[in-house]
Order: sequence, then structure tokens, then C-alpha cells
Amino acid sequence: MSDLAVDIHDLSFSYDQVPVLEHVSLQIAHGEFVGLVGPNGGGKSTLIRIILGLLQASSGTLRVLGKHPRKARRNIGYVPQYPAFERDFPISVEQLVLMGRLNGIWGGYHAHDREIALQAMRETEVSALKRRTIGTLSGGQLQRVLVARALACEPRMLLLDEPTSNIDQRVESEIFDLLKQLNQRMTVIVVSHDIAFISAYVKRVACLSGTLVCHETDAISGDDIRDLYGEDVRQVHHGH
Amino acid sequence: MEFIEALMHYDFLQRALIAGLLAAVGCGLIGTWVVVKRISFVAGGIAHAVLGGMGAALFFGFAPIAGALVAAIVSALLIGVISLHWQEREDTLISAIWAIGMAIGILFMAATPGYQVDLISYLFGNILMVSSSHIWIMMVLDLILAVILFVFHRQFEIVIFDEEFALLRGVPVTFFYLLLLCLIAVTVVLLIQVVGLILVIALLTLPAAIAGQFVHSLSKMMIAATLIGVVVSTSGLALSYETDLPTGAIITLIAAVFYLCASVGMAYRNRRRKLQAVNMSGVNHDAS
Repeated sequence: MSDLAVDIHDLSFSYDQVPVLEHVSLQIAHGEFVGLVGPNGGGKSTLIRIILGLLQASSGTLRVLGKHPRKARRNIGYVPQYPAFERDFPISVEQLVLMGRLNGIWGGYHAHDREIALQAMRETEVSALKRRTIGTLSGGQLQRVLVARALACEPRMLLLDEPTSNIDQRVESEIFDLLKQLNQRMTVIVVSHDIAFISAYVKRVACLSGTLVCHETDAISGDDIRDLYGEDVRQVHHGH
Repeated sequence: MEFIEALMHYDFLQRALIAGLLAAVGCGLIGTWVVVKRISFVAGGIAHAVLGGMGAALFFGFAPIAGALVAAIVSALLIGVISLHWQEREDTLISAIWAIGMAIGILFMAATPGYQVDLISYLFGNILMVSSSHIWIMMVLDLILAVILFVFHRQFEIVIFDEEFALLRGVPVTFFYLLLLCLIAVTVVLLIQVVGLILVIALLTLPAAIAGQFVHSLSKMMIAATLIGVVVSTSGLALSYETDLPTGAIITLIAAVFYLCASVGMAYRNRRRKLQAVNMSGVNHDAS
């Protein structure tokens, strides 16, 4: 039990009677690098939000880092798909990363917190940008800053929801190289709609289309992909 | 100047000046959050609901400022709960509160004999009528605002910036969002004394919006907005004294002119920078 980072058993979820997830079971061990793929509307983001305790499953059981998701979420570094904030918000890169150090109702930032934030920025190679306001960053830079904010939480697990949906392919590879490096010390779960790209990095993909099917990455065939998406995956990819 | 000489002699002018400065502090501190979170419509709803509270207070024989404070806090909480739970109906419901507040206020004032004059002064404000007890209340409210914003600066920042991430860090989003709306409500009550109900939004948003064009952190924006508010309210008071025109309207127009100048100036600067960048890249192309 304790060697599982995520333990989902027979979990279902529906939005206003419309089933989004049905009887999903998924076990992820500590230290794994798992890709969560599937078509749009397949429930990937919903599952992520349930793991983070932002949504409540209708039925089934879920343990995250051996705890209730609400208790576990301070140990999770989360990188959202579309940043919910305005790009013209008056805040510097350093202030944004420092937000990962906040904890509960009280408190500001101490020297110790600044040190951890700086370390996170060094690791994601954005420490040179720390005085810049976020509105001046490129898509790839902002994504690295968001990963730095997630790392500043000192997480045991990283959850990334389509971290590369707004950036070009070269930067996409750089981000995944970074994730692979981070995977040496923490569990990484990354959501993507691009199964072909992430199979080169992750050890296992979980394909989510209402229900869940797991594959070792070297065992994925074209048929699996066609079954899941109902069409050739390259066409799915070019649809963007 | 005639105004400075008059300031030495008339204590109603001195009180007006102090009231303007205290209002500038409140609008600088809170206006920054209103502008950054883009909720001036929410502030407008709260401001108009205040009229209902003032009308009721007059009718039942309480101090109008007490009625205003209660109505402002109640409507702020109501609007907060609406925007957290019925987001798809938010604008309709805020408009409803806006109109209902005014309607209640007008009804109560009509039913209270001899108070029709006050309605006008609440709508447009009368900074020259501010009493010394009002000044004390404003001072206390400013102090409360400043202390709360200082103590919880980081929490407000994360809640306004990224609600989802705030939740993940264990920051109670609902609590801080409602607290912020209550602080806005208190500031609105402060500002009604100075510029009146209709012009509250101007003083709440314009100084902060001007500041936001020049500085890029929340704390600097609060300081700059306060200083701009001080300049605007003082010069507005002086100008209205010299010209014998309504103070609230003059203060608002001065703020609007500053905002216009800042926007045009910034747009011009950005365009020049862009042109320079284009020229630079043109030079590089020629060289290669």
C-alpha cells in the first residue's frame, strides 16, 4: 500500500448526470513516469483534478501518497494546462515561484523559502529571468516558471496537465528532458494528447477515454491508438 | 493661490483636504486589487447597494454611515457568494443588487420627511460637509485596511492571481475572496463621503489603473496609486474651490485626464520601442 503514489480503484465521476469517468482503476508506484493520454473530453483533466482533491469522485476509492487527496495535495507539484491567471498580472517570476512556498492562512516568505525558490528556478533554468514580469515571458519560459513553482512546493510527485500544449516542438523536448531528469527523484504524471511524442519518454501510458487501459510504452501498437482515438493519431496531432 | 490662503482660515476646507487624503489611501490600497482582479463592476454593485442601507438608516433614525457600512458588508458577502457559486448568472445578479439597493434607498428616503437634499449629496458626495467624526471614522477604516492587507498580502496575492493553486497550497480561497470584497465595501463607504456614489468607481479604479501602467508589482502599485490619489484629490479640491464647481466631479475628471495622458503616453512609448526594434532588426538583416 505504502509503495503506491496513486491508488485508484473502481472510480467513477459524472458532471450533471453525464458520466465522464467510469470504473477507472490505476496504480502508480513511487518513482514512476506515467503518461496519461486520450482524446479531448476523455476525462484526463477531470482525473487530475480528482487526484488533487479539487473534484470529488462519485464512487470508488482513491489514495494519493497513501493519504486522502486533500491531505496529500500539499506534497504534489501541479502544473496546470491553461494558466488560470492573466498574463498582464503585475508579478515577477520570483514572486510567482515563491507562491509554491505558501502554506495555509498565515505567513509570508522567509530567507529559507527564497533559497528553495531560487534552487527551483536554477533547476528549470529560469533564474536569470527572476526579476522579469510574467507578461514578458515566452510560452516556453512561462512553462518552465510554472514547473519551478511546482518544484518550490518540494513535492513528492509532479502532476502536469498538457504542459506543452502552447509551445513549439523543440521546447517541448526540452521540457520533457527536464521532467525525465526530475523523475530520478520523484513520481511524475503527465497528461498529453500526443501519445506518439510522450511514448519516447514515459515508462507507461494510461489511456483514458471514459474508461482506462494501461500499456507499457514499448507495447503500443497502431491498433491500440486507433481503438482509442477512432482515427489515426497523426491526424489527431495535426488537428491543432 | 487663493486656495492655500483659504485653507489657513477655514477648517471645513482643512477637513475636506484631510478627507481627500484619507480617501486616497483607501482607494490606492484597495483600488489596486479591484483593477488587477477586474471587479470594478462588483465594486459598483456594492456602492449602489450602500444607498439602500443609508436610506434605511435615515428612516429608522440611525447614522447614515452605520447603515452604509452594514449594507456594504451584506451586499459584498452576497455578491461574493454569487460569484463563487453561480458564476454563469453573476452579471445579472450583480445588476439586480445594484438596482434593488438604489430602489430601496430612494423609497426609504422618500418616506423620511425632509431628507430629499441628502439623496443628492450621497449621489454626488460633498467633501466640504465632512465632519470631524467622519474624519476619525475614515482614519480608523484606513488603518484597518492597511493592517489586514499588510498581514495577509501574500494570501490575497495568491488568491487573486491563481485560485486553484491557492487551494492546493491550503489557502482558504473563499475566506480571502470574501474578506477582500468586505474591504472593498468599507472603502466604498469611505469614498462616498468624498466623491459620492456615482463617482466612487472612478476614484477606486483610475489611480490604480494609472499606477499599473508604470509599476509592475502589487505593493508598488498600491503605493503609486495612493500617491496619485493624493495629487488628484488635493488638486481637485483646490480647482473646485477656485472655480466654485462641484468637488467630486472635478476630482473625477482630473483622475480621468491623468489616466488618458498616461495611456496615450504609454501607447506612444510602446510604439516607438516597436519601431526601434523593427529598425534594429532591419539593420541586422542588412549586415548579414
